[in-house]
Amino acid sequence: MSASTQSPEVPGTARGSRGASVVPRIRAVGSWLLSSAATLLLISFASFAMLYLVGDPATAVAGSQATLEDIERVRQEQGFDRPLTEQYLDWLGSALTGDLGVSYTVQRSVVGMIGESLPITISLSLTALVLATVVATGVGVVAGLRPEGRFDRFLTTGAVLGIAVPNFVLGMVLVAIFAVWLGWLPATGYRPFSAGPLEWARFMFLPAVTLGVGLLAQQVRTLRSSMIKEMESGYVRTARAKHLSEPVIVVKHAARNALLPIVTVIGLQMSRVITGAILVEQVFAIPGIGQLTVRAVAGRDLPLVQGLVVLFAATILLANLLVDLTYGWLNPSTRRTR
Amino acid sequence: MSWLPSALHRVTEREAGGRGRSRRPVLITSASLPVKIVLSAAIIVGAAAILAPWLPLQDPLEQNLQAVLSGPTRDNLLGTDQLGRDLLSRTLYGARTTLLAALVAASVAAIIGIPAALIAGYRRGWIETALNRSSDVIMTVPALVMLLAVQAALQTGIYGSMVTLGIILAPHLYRVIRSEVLKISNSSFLQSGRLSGCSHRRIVLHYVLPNVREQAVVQLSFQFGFALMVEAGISFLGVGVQPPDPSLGSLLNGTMSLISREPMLVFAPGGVLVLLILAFNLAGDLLRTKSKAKHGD
Repeated sequence: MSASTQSPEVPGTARGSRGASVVPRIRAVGSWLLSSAATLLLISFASFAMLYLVGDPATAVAGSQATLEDIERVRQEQGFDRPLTEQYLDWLGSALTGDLGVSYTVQRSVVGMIGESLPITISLSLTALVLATVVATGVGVVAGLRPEGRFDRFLTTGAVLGIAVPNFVLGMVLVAIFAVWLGWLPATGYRPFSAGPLEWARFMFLPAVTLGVGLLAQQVRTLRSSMIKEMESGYVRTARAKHLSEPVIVVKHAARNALLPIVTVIGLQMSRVITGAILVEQVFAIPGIGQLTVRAVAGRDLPLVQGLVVLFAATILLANLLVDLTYGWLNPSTRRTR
Repeated sequence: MSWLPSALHRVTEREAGGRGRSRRPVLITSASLPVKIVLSAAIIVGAAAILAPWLPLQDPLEQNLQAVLSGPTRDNLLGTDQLGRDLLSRTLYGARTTLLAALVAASVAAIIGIPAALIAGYRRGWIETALNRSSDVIMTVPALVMLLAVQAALQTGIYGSMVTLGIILAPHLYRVIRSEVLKISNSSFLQSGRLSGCSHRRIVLHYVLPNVREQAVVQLSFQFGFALMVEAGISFLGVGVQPPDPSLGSLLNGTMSLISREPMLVFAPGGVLVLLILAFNLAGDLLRTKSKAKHGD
């Protein structure tokens, strides 16, 4: 991570005023594009090689009832007997024009299938992230004000638990409590936003909380310790010496700086969000990318798996870029020369 | 004259090892009461799980359709599942599988990650660049996604998946250990080791390794907890341990519809899973605090 978070900041830094920071920004995006493209190429080739060389696509296409002749026929018809690099370049060529091939199991375009379920997963992940970040900002700052206080202890214990509980276990427990015993919320399922925001929220609440708790726990830990650090710093002492009121010191001075590391944490959490969404969608029967992935793997739908691996890797790389840019935007000191 | 280098070795090696080698069993006794309780409970449950085949438990696969979803009884302390199998026995056997699987993952991560970090941090140069780059690439794909893709291609079963998980975890271990190696790379005891004519091998094994060992144990403890979570996750998704064999994840697979009739089906395996993960995370925290306190940073 460190290479990707730092390297785009370093080259071509604005030597003069802060206002000239547009050029390095463009350069940062450019260097990100280059290194991400290289990483993505490498990942797509590695996963292609694994799936198509070792995975033996002909048997996956022909199905479990196929005879050896069937498999051989499929192998020749589909061109699976060609050299791997040739097959990969074929795949890459169409991928660059936005065509990730056709699914083996349902005979539909991979891009279409991903496009259908992606918005659902994005709405789940974003809701979870926003919920987690909003709550974390509040409680993390308050906990950091009185380290070892009662609220802080309660929260630190909660965070340790929140990190240790796998989200699919948490999801089942929440369903047991809120859907089965109390009957307040639906147990499983999904309603699109177009069916009405209230309906959407009713179905989205438990999954988003399930996914959000782990994220929240990590963010609270980070925020709490950065808040403690900021409150001990020199500028807070100066502000106190100037007789600024404590709320002003906390909100306007310390909290602003303490919130910075949360950007990095959110970026690093993208991987956790994706992993979590796959499991949470399974618990709550939400027809998003996670369910698609599990079905693709169970059905050995190699083009779909390949497309999904590339999609997830691209998501992580994009998150890294956004973290770098946001960080530079929020914290001017990282923009200048080292 | 031949005594001189070897005597120097001993002195400098003691110095090098001094940071990592005070063997006081303060781990559990220095913890707070709740942590002590969690760790003790996890040790008891973990021991019961590992010794499950030798304990007087029922056969975890034996069905009894006369007593389906019985709830706790004298014969079945935690009740039975939808096929009348004893839940206590299945949970302990499941924990056993999950623990062994995580052990495989953590061992593979250690076998790959630690030597790679020692070599990269000590030798630097192109080999470090290459290792950094490859660890970046591996870390770009989320662990669960990579495991699922490997499963789609190779259909390896749970232990194959855990070897893969070890390979996925290795870069994380590599990063931490490498930066520890870099921290001591200019220290005086390393230089005196070099001056006294030690081989690279000797320096790495006797000077560097003792200083990164603590961090390695801390990281491996966290990774063990993570591996438990991942094993349960993929078995829950139905691509890890296959039914009827129990693992903490596969036990939870398919219990959603039964949760209102027999909540124990979720709470027993789920609770044991949380307990074990919690214990490894807390142990990691404790070890880290202890090593920080010792080095005063």
